Amino acid sequence: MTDEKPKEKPKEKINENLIETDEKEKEKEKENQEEKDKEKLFDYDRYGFLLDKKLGQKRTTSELKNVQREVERGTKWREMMDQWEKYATKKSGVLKRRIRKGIPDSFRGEAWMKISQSEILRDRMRKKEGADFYLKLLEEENEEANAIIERDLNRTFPKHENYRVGSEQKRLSRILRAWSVYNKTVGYCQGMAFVAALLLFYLEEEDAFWTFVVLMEQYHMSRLYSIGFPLFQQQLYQWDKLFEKLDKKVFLHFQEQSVMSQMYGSRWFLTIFANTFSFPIVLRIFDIFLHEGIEFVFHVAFAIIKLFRKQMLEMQFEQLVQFVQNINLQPIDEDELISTATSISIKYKDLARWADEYHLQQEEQKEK
Amino acid sequence: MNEEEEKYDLKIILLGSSKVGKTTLVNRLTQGTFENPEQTTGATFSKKKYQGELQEYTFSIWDTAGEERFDSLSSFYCRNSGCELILYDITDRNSFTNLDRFFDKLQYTNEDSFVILIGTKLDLIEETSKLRKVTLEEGKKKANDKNSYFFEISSKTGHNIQELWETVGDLFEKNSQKNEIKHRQDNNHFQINSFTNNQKKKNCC
Repeated sequence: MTDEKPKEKPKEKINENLIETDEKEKEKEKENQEEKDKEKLFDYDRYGFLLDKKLGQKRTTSELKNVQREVERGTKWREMMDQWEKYATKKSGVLKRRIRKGIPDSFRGEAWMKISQSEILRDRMRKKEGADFYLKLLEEENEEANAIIERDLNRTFPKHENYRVGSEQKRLSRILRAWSVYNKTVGYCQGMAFVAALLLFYLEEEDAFWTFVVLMEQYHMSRLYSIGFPLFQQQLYQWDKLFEKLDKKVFLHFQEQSVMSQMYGSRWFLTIFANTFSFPIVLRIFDIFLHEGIEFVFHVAFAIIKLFRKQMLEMQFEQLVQFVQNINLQPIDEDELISTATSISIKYKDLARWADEYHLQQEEQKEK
Repeated sequence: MNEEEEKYDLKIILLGSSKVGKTTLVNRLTQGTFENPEQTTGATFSKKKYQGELQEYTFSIWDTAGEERFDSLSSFYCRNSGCELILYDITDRNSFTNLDRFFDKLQYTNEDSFVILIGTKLDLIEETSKLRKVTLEEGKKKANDKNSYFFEISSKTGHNIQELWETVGDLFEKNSQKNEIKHRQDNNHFQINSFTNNQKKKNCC
């Protein structure tokens, strides 16, 4: 679209016979212009997301910068992929640093599977249950879950071309259905669709399914979504404690304005920020989350506070609640967010202590 | 004590099953637009002004996630709510038979809060009434049984949206007048029944 050159206008057209063709030219030009206008109304970023012109969203130079950067990183990543064992163990520091810089798009799917070790689960389950295990899961029906899944399909990344027109919705639906059969106890819950859709951007359907299973079962995400939201409730408790410890002034300001973590926490934590940020940032967060674990959400949450603390301190309830619920409207540089998030020091001992505290409180309440 | 309570004259909360059109109604009310929104996880805040007879009021609106699992979270948002909009989709029977779980939420809201039951997606049955799965009478009866007001609306065409909003404002104003009287009477050791118990139902469609 961008490399279309303006049509050269013939300069010496004075012959009357040419008037007609000139008019045709004009008409053509008009059509071209209309096409261009249409393109101006609808534009997509490099990931296929509809850009909202009203919000002034456009393809950015940082996008181009990233493409170039990724090409440069390609060689390094190829080498890492080929010698994964070494990088996962002896050279894990290098791996961690490179993941924090962002996995190049062309390696993302492969890397996600290696990091999450979903390949291992996939192969093990195929061996145990047969190569067509995934297809068998699809044959079984969990009607209750299906009804909810159907309702959420066109409401997951609705601004993305593929989900808007529906071509990806079938694959998304199948993964979620298979999951609701695979783990009937947890089943389907809103929020999950964002995570599954994210995986589908980079993985084949069955691979995306097994990676989804790993996330749910080994990354504890199923406890985020299971009835009563046990992990999510615990995270809210931990977040309040952490927030207070790291920046008491802003924390108290939130309290004074009655902006509670319940009001924005579900958007932040339930989808690992997948419906919070713009897509390039979502990907960077997801890369690191896969490698460093679910605690990374606290790093990102506090990075938001750190980056916007000055503005936040001046905001009253209304502005503040809308601000934290719609972080995606803020112009955020992905590198700045990630480097802020990774530089925040959070003691995991603290997190564990607060988790214990939370569970103790829950127990006490039950006894009452 | 609570910043949110002080700033808004009325807190409105939207309840109802997944995909009945809660977010769509909020968008219609606050922005006048109709589009397919993302699924709501948790709840979303917005506000809208209401021009009363004598003054202008600001109402806060909390849109919640409708899936059953989120019920444990939505109780939090019901606190201090003075108006509950409970929605069902007139083309989806389940969203109607499911309604009681939302009426159960009323235990968390203000004592004097009022409830409006709303049947949505009226536009879908305009061309063919075959799609209708809940009759107008059933809706009215449910509202009656539950001591609530009733509307059928379309956020797409805007049908009954203005009427709905005016009813919210009207009820709010009446409610606050009553409260004032009640407050004065309470101080003089009088007792009157709360507004919701003796107010006549108003059914609109």
